[in-house]
Amino acid sequence: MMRSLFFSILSVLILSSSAAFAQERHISPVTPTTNKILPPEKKKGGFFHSFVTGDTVPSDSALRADSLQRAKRVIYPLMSGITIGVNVFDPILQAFKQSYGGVDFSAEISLWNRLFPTVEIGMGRANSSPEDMNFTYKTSLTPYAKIGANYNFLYSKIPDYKAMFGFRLGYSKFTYDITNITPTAGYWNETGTFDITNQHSHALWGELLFAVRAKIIGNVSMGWSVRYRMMFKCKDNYNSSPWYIPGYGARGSRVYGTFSIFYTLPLSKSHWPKFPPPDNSDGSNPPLPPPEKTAK
Amino acid sequence: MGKILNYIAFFAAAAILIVAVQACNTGDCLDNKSSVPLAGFYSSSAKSSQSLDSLTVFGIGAPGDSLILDNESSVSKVYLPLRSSATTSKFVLQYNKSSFNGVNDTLTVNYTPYPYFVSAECGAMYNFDLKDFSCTTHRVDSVVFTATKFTNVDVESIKIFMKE
Repeated sequence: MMRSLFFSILSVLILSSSAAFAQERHISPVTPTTNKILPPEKKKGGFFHSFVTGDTVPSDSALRADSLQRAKRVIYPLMSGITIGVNVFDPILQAFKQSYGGVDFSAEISLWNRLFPTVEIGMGRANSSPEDMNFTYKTSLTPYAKIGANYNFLYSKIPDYKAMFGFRLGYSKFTYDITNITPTAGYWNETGTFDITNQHSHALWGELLFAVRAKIIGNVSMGWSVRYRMMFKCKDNYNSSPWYIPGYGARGSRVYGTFSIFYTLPLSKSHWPKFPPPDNSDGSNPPLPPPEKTAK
Repeated sequence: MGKILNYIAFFAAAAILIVAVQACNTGDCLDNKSSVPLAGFYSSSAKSSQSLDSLTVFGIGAPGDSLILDNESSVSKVYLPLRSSATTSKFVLQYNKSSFNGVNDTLTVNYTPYPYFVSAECGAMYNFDLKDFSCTTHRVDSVVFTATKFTNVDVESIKIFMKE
């Protein structure tokens, strides 16, 4: 009887002491989410992007969307540069015996390295006596002007390289003479020479262009463009149709080109996206890194 | 090395551009290099094109009595060049067929010539503004001018309707 009472009291003491010990133990506070396995974060438009692209691997499309978002953040300042250029295409062609042409200068502003409003001003002349023809066509040095804009498809890249589409609207008012005209004698065997002088005209035309430009050294770059021209208005005279139009070229030709040298004055360069120096050891262009700094 | 290749590609593209532009800008004259009216012969009854046989055409006062057509057969069209140093040109249509032997018609055209420069490809020439015209009617029924200005555009501008 006494033995059983002793064991009972001992059991109660052991249990009560262990309960007391348990109450005194220190417990580190943790948040309820700790140690949970979180699912991948859902991105907006993830399903739509996969549906459109046909991508069956959601993680890939999410990564691609992320890289696209990063690329979109490569924004240049509003005014990121001023570029002046000189088109030497006509002088080159004149070296190859083209009998007309001129030289023009361009000025453009870089807006976000994406849009380039452009003004082109130049002087053109002609002095042509084609072989096997019966005249001399002359246009004295005459000014012309063009306005327009380019759109740079490589706007998120370093500005050393540009590939652009653009348009121009050109106008010129000019005077020309056709002299030493000797018509064919023909059936009536009429011979003689006459002149058509002091012919006044003006022309308005448009140009669509594709241009490529690459940095050569420092702030100097070179570029060429191919232009398709559309004549909107050209005044004909009673005695002649103008053949050479300053800034447009020969009236019958629709395709033309330019080859220009440019100098760029960078603006707000401290706000430009930062790119690592190009590694051209293997001749490849540098990859596009994530931008470190963007414009406000 | 890679940079040099880039430059070579860049200048090669520019050279191709120069050649392409030069190739695109060389054209030919798509019309005549002088302004000569083209006349066509028509049947007055059927109002359709007609071919004439044994036809001689010449201009009155032409140097050396040269002929435009010399007893040609199957003639449905003929160019009638106008004098640029005068305001009147006369052409004789001589029918040499035995049934019409000795019969001629004379077409007289009055006009104003003026010099005109067309293009580098076609050159400069005299154009003509029509003032009036007349024609005898031995075999010719009537004459219609479809244009009042004769240029180097190669279109028929005179219709000569013949009697049956």
